[in-house]
Amino acid sequence: MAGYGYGGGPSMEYESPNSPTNQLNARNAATIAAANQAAGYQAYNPASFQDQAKAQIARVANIMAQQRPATQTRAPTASVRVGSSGGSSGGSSRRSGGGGGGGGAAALPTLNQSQLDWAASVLKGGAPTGATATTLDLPDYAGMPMRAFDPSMWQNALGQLNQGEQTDLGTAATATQNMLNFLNTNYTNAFNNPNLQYATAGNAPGTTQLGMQRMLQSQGVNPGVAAGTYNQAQNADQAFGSLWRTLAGNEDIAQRGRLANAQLYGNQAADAIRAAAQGGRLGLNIGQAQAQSAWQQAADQRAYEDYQMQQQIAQQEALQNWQRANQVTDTNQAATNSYRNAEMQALLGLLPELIKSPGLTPPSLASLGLG
Amino acid sequence: MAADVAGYNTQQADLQYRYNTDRATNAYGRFLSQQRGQRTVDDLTTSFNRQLPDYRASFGQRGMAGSGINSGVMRRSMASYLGDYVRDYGRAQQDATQETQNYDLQAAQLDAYLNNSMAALEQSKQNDIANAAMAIEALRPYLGALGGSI
Repeated sequence: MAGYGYGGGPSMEYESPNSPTNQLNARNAATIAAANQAAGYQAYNPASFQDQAKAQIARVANIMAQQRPATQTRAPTASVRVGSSGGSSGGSSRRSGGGGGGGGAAALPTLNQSQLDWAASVLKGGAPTGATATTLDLPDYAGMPMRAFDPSMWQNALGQLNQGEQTDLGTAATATQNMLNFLNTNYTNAFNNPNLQYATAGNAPGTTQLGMQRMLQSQGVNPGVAAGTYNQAQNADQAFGSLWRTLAGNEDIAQRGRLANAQLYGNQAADAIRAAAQGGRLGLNIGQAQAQSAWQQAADQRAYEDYQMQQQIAQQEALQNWQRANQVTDTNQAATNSYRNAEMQALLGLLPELIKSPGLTPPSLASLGLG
Repeated sequence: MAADVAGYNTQQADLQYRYNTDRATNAYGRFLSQQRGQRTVDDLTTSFNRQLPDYRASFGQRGMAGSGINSGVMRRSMASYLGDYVRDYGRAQQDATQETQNYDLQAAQLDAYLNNSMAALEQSKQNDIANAAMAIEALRPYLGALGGSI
């Protein structure tokens, strides 16, 4: 309020125009007008109360413009200021009787089209540039490869079992052959022993049959008188020989039976060894199958966990990208809104000039970066 | 557990011992029997040789023997006498032979019994060894030694 007064306005108290006070005021007003003119300002022209209001609005707009973000270029304030007429020299003071100040002072500069366009371009230059979201691409999950199933333990055991089976079969075969050799080597048919052939008349004690016949002939007796006795002896010898041969046959049968049993038992032993080995192989195969099944389950579990991990990473990546995109959009939107508000404030600040200069073409939204 | 073959070895030793004693006893009995038979036939021969001249001379005293005499009574009597002697001698000789054969039969039976018993024992022993081996074979997977021999 101290910058200007009501030049020419009614004074608060009556005072003669030629009073020393009025004379002093007149000189002061003249001095101020001269100074304003030297500074390029036009003399204040107290047109109306509305002009004063416009000037007030322009000042507020100027202040608000100064409070804009630093990224924005302040509109030139010099052109916004409403020039005060030379009449203000009298009205700048609240002293009464200030009115009647010098008329004909120079008018304040007004906003021209080029300045308005320049201001619009400056405002546009302050428009925010949109941020761009960078896509997150995490490295793909590479699961630790699972060690392949190793059946070597069972294969080694199987090989040892087969080797043991062959060894045992060889041992059993050797034992069987040794048994057969023992039976054959130590077998003697007691009833075929030629050293025991005593069941003949030739081995009988005393005189032989031939000697007895010679004795009978020497005594003039027919040798045939002893035929019955000889026949009995021969029959007895034959019976004994038959018994001997029967027993000898029985011995041979017994020996063949023993040999057959030995061979049979050897075959049974070999069969038992093969059966035991087959059982061992079956057990090893079952063990390997169970272990392989367990390994397969572990492998499947590992694959499932890898799949889950891949899905988690993909979801995390998508979520991060989604959040970042929204954040960038929000930021851009907020910056644009802030810029638009600042633009509106600046445009409001220009309204007085536009009103004052009807010939000016208001800047378009596109020229302000709002299109 | 390994097979315990000591019992079989003991049985084999006992069997061999019994065979040896029985065989010796049989051989001695055979010798005695042979000696008895020899004595019997020898006694028969001695008695016959002593009685034959007297028996033959009795025919001469009765005029049934001598030069130019061919008595049918004497021929029949001598044939009967010598026939009885030969019969008795032959039977004694046959008895002695059969008695000896009996000893020989017993000896052969002892031999056969020994052979059969020894073979049976050896076979049982080998079977027990094989059974023990197969039992160990069955335990082999649990003993942690799948390879090698028993």
